[in-house]
Amino acid sequence: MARVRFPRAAEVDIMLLLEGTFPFVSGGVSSWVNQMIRGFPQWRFGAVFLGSRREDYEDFKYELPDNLIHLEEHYLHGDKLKPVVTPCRGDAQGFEVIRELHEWFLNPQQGSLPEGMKNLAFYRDSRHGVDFFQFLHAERSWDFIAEKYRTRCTDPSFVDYFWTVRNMHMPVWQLAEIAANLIPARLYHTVSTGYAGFLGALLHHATGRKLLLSEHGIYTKERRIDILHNEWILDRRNPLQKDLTEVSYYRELWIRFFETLGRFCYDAAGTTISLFEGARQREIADGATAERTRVIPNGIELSHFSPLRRLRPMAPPPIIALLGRVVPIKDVKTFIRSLRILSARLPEVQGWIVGPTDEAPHYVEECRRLAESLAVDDRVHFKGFMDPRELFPQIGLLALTSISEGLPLVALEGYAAGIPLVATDVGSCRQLVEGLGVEDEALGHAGAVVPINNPQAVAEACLGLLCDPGAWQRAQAAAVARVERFYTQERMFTEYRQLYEEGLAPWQA
Amino acid sequence: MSWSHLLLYALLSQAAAVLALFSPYPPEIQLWLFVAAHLIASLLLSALLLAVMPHRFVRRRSWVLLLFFTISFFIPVLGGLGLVGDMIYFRVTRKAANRPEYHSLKLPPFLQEGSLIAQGMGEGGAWSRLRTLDLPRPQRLKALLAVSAVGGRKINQLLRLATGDTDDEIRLLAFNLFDRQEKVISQTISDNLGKLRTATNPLQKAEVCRTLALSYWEMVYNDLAQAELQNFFVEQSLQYARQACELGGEEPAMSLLIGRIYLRRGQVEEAEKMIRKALALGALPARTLPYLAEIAYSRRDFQALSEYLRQEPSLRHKPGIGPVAQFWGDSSWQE
Repeated sequence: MARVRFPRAAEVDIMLLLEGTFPFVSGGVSSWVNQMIRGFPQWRFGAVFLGSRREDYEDFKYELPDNLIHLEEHYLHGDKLKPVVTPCRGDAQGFEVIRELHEWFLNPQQGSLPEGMKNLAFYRDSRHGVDFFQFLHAERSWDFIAEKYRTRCTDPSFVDYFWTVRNMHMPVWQLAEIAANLIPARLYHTVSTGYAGFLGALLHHATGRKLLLSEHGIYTKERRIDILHNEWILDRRNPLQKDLTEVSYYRELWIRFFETLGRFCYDAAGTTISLFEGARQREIADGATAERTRVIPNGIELSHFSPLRRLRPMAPPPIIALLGRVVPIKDVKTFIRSLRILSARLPEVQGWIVGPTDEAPHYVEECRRLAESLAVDDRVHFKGFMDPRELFPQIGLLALTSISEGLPLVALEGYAAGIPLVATDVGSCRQLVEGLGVEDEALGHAGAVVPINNPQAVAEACLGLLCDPGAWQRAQAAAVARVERFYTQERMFTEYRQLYEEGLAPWQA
Repeated sequence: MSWSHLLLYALLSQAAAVLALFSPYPPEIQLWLFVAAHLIASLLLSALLLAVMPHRFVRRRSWVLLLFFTISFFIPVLGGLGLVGDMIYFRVTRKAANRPEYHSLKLPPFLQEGSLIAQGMGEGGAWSRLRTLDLPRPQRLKALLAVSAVGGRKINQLLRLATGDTDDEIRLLAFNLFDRQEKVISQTISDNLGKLRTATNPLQKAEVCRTLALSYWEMVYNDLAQAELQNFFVEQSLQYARQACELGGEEPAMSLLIGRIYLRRGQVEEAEKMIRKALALGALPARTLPYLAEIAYSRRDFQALSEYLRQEPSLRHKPGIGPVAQFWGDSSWQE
């Protein structure tokens, strides 16, 4: 798709704060953002896209809706212009606030978030806090970092500590700058905590306008997992200093940093929305106030998919599709392994992996190699991006072997097109397949739920549905009934409309 | 010549200049002797002072030298004494300003974290912690991290248990640790499948087949696959082991591997034949006898089992099989 110009406006009704999603990255969250903007044509939307580096993204993956009248992009890890170095002592009061903040995050039960941190001037005005220059070059900044290193850091290298702290915190000042220069909006809506959530919190505190937080995945949890597995995070402890049961100090530091951003956002959000009850509980555990949380499941436009049911062959074709980005979290490998097992019992079976392959090329390569080592490379097809409406009539089953999910839109779209689902027991997948509550459960199973990392269970569940027309028909009927009753776009829009109207209401002092 | 020697000469020259003024020579001779000695003293003192001054104070050395010389030469005696005073000052302060070496620093106080003795965690500790669902997450994560550093088949069973955990984080961490191990072997298999396609020489092919046979078996041995997928790996391993023998001739490692695969599939007769062949081809008794003992046990031939385990004394000290060898190696079990 060709890169289009960024729309600009002087003000908007709702400003969406997006980190690594719409419009540069395709996927469930991005599709949901697109759906939301188009679903409320009566309001003027703006969006701030936060990314890592410009070169990490290609063109827009979505046609911009007409009512998205403002879009800006910012990159947090590109080359930044640094201020000229001159001697500076630093604002004593400002650093005292930072000290308080540190204490608060070490003991979040005691007291509340320091007020100073909520003020944009704190990050931008050297007379009222710690501006970017002071953070980089003030003596007090150095003293503070050195003191924290001496008292807390268990890694032997001060140089590594110094640069880790510096690089980690730099985006905070950049976000303050973005917040200060952003056009006015009547309501802020962030789709994650993290950097976008922090920006939302700053905007809320600076303007007094409401902040909504809709979490599809739990950002803090996902970052924690990423950090635990990243190879680039240093660990310079020697064998005598290392306790194998301890995470390296820098990993801990990164984890705490993202937890901090999360708490800052939860503290500011008027309403925190999750997709299912499990996610809501997790948010509460991570610092969200229970009374300000609620669940709004995803919903889809049924009319886009229900006509596809008529295009399906009578018997389900032995084609199983995994629809999603080819990235580790989708655990495509388990899907490929299950095809090895399936092929022995259902020789004509095929596995289609439908989704973009540009996000984690190394993982795509690993998947191809795995298919080869399992001698199923002739029946595993990487289809790249496909329009689901073109795909659904051709397949017999949808498979989701992810190790982490929220409430996957593809499952709902598949249901509406009359395709049962075999999914791992993550996120709200069990609720999607088996139902939640008496009325929902009475509809029956819309497929099967399997444990993660268990190709045998995936294969058996797929066989059970593909080789038993009766079971497949029952699952299809349950899928259609469930999506039509509980996961419609109208239902989701009604709940969000109410939240938007409350948020957009003139501010009451 | 050392700095102190030069200073001594300078002071002696200055003293000689003063003494020249009180010598019995005619005044003009006295004057020449004074000027000569005073000139030498002034030059030496100026140069010495310049040498001891910190470099950061001295930008234009020749001009500074001229300045010192002028002071010393045109203010007889007192100028020189002034330079000596400056010299002593700079010598003393420069010595004090010398950077202390690290060994002269005081030891920093022990950090609270550093003073704790690391608590290791064995497999048993990790199992029990992971199975205790009401333990706080950090403790269970610690258990997982502790075992992940060890690896091995038992650990993989534990990781598999953890991938079914109710806690998302435990589950994802376990999955990733498990995947990391599987990835290494998959990569080897994939690389060697590529080599097999391009290899032309039968010996080269045999070598690649050996690696493939052992890699597929590694998947099985490390418990990285279950049920039918495990059976597939076993079949692949057997197929490549046979291919390696066909292309490169019989050899102990492949014969033993084929024997182990037969044993796993319950084909006891074939397994025994292959393991004996491996032994005949030169496989280590310590590696082969336990399998023969296992076959004897499956036939309930305890006498043969005991003899096998007695044949190789080192078995009694090997981890895993040691206690088994000790039990069956003694005749007490017959009582």
